[in-house]
Amino acid sequence: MTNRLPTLTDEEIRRLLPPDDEAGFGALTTPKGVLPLKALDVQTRIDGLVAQTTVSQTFVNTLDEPLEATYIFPLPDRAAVTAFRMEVAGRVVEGILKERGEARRTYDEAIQAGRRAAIAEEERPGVFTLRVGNLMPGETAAVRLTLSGPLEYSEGEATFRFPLVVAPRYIPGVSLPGPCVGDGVAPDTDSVPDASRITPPVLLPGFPNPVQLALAVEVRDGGLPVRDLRSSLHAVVTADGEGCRRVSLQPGERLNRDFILRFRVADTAVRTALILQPDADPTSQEGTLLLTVVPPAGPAAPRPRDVVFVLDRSGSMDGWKIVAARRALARMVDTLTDADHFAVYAFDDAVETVPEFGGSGLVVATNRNRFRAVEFLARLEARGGTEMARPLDQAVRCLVKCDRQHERVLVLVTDGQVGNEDQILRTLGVGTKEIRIFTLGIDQAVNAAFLKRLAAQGGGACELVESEDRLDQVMDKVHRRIGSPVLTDVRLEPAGLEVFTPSLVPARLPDLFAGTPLVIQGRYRGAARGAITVHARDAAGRPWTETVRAQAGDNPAITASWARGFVRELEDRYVIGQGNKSALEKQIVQTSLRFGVLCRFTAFVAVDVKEVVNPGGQVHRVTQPVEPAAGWAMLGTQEKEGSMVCRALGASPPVAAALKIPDPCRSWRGLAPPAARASAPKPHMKFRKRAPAPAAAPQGIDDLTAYRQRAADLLRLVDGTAGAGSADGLNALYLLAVQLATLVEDLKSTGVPAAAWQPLAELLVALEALITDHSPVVDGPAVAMLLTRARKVLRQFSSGQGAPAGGSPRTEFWK
Amino acid sequence: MATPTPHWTIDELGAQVALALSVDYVGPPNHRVREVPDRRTIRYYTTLGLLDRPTEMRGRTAYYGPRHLWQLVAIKRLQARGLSLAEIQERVVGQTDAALRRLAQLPAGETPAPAADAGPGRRAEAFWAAAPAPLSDNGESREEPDPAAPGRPLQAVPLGDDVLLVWAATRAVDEEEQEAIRVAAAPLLKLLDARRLLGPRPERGTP
Repeated sequence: MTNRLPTLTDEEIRRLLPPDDEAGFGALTTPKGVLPLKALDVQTRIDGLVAQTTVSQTFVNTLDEPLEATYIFPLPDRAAVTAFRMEVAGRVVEGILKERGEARRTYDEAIQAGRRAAIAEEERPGVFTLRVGNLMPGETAAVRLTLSGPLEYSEGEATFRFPLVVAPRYIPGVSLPGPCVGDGVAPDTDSVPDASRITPPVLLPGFPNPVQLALAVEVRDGGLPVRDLRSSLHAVVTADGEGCRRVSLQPGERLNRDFILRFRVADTAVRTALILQPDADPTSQEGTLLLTVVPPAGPAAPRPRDVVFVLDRSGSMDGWKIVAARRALARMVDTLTDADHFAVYAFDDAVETVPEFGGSGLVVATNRNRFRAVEFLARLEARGGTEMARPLDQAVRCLVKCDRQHERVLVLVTDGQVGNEDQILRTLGVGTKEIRIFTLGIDQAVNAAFLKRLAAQGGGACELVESEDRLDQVMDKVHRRIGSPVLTDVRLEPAGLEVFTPSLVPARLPDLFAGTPLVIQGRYRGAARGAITVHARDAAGRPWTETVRAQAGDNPAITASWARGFVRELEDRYVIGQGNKSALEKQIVQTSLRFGVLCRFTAFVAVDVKEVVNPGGQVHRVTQPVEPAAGWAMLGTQEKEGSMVCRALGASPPVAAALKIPDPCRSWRGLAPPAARASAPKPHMKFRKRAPAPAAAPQGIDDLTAYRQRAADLLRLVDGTAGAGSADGLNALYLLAVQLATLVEDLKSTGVPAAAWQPLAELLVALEALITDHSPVVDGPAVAMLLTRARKVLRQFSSGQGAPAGGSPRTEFWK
Repeated sequence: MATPTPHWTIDELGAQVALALSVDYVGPPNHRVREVPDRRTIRYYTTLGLLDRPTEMRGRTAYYGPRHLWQLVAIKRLQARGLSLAEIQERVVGQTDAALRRLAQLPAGETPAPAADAGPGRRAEAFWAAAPAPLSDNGESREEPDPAAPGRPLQAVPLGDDVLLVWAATRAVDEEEQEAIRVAAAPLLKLLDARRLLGPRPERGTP
């Protein structure tokens, strides 16, 4: 009894298209390939909202010289790596966690002495390097990492995300002199001193799948039903006994995106609770606490908002990502009201703002200003480098100066593909403590760790979307997140329980939003009993308290999870430069070693002491190249994404002269073939092979239902002003223009024939003309005429009469 | 670790490649393979793992060794056989020195004595504890400009007798837009005129 698992829709569309190359499904290995990584096996068990995973990587030396293989790979950013071992020559060698410098020395000495050895290091939360050395010709080594971590949970939906590729990162700065510290392709720079450790070589599209991937997730529901399992890769689900389901990948999947498994759990699965887990060591008088606070239901009392939207329009966003980002931002701008202030920054190598706003300051979110912002957004194309630190710094400085009585929110929309995370956090420094930061990550192989770190620094939240469909699903939640919280000024008061306050994770207790529980971890001393009272202020500003009684825990993974979280907080403090650096480093190493969790200052090392196999320790070094990240137009992996190819068709006139305007790939050191760029003035603007969206091409435009519904909503808005005076009518037209601009942009992005949205676009032009007309006198008849026209056009579109019957003007629009 | 010798700059490396290919190079079937790869191509090949990172950076100058030469010549030979870059990647990435020399059809004695297979060097310091540089004062990208960078079409609109607006436009401008631009530019022309930055205009009186 095997059931196919429904996949995310964009994936289905991709699969419906014929493959562009012979590689892919079925082609599991390179026949003559010398790449060392042969197989990756991921086995996960999800119990409640905690995932326990073992990752096995198999390396083979197919060369005729001793090998040192380097693999730069990702792991879930919040997971704690708690064990490491190497299997080679029929032996199992357990890894030992050591201070990083010491571990590296141990490894180097073993290699020089001719012994087989392996080392696992953490470069970033979520990015790791593994080296296996003195692997002899024909030999196989398998290394195994054990990790555990919490699932993301919000509004009844749990997400298990397992990244499979470290996507290319933008590396700012100038090259450092001397040799580099790692085996990646980018040279180290002053901004990213370890760039060479996070930049694996990238395979070309068309390279036969070099790694055999197996991935299985066992979901145990613990008596609470789990529903609606969905996966980002092709998988099958099988019932595996009572209350347990097994999701396994079909063979042939490539390591080019995040594996995402989502499912809904019953509301009762997550409740306000305090769990105390005494240390396993009986001599320890301490333990770990886990406090979950589910915020009360009920509407938030809206306060005026000051919002700076920061949009990454750099080259890596080219393709569906920039389209999704523009849409997301336009819709967020649309939810603002006259009581709010806002600004929009778009950055690549430089920062651009809405020209009419006259600078980087905030303006009142009037209809006109929102309209201008949406117009500005609609014009943005992806290009250039990802110089992210400056616009964020500018936004934080701007918000810090704003009225403290307002909600001060920074919204960052990006794929997060930068290497200078530390530099950015350091630049923003403590300014982030005063405002709230919300990050929206858009990518199929997103830099989740950085976007979550940034959001945590800013006491806010992070939402990650891997497709336009997913964006639509979470948009309401995103709106709530940039709205007002239901609980603020949260603080804890223990009773009958000794809590180490400095050990609390997160250190900055964030404000609470409806639907998303607050999870706090920390350490306590003494008997495992007592209670914690949570104090906060509710939406109306009244005091709110809830006392949570302790209950005994039976999950030792809580301790590793806290330790990893705590070390991460310390690492961030180290990066920002708060406190004494050497004392912090000492505390980080101590915590990491005591609780056995890998971090940036420690490393797991395994040495096979039984045998000397390569006297002299000369090795041939190979860094495993990785798949090009899926959905990146820059890497040529966009075309296959069908519905994600969403670009208005518009030809540039013949080139008269060339100016140095960044193309999407410029500054992204060497990521696109130079020949392709030299052949056309702006290759990414060429007519893309428009893959027919299955719903759009064969069956006409039936899938426009959602858009027709939005048009119907707009019609109601216009109808609501019937008989009102012309001032009200004008106001309605402003509102209509803002929302219509978004609707038209969305429609264009679906790739339906222009005839479907042409009347709406023409109406928009007429509205723009009226709005940008600065005449002080309201022209009553003109307003009335436009209102009538708007009603007619919207009625026609919403009832499905927009497109002319028969002969579409451009039947082969995908060519 | 032995220092790999010799050190070549990118231009010297290019010359070595040309020299190695001149021996029995018949040229690619489609004549599209350039003899000496430019800076951008070098960088692209590095990203693909076809070419190792420079052995060393001294200031902004990158230095290369014999392995880079073998890699580049091997790529050229395979291109000359009409292989696609993905096929070349399959054959070249991760190869040993001996295999690269075979692909490059270079006898062992012909190239300067190779150092031990050192690969790109590694810095030994505790990089994980190193702080990144503070943000520089100018917001510019500090990447060296690439003269070959393609651009957008230039658009020019005459604003007056001796003022021409030139910019990189996203598209061509039509008559109506040109007129709108001229109207919008009126204050600028006024300013230029007031500061006496425009030539004398016989037919115009003082404003």
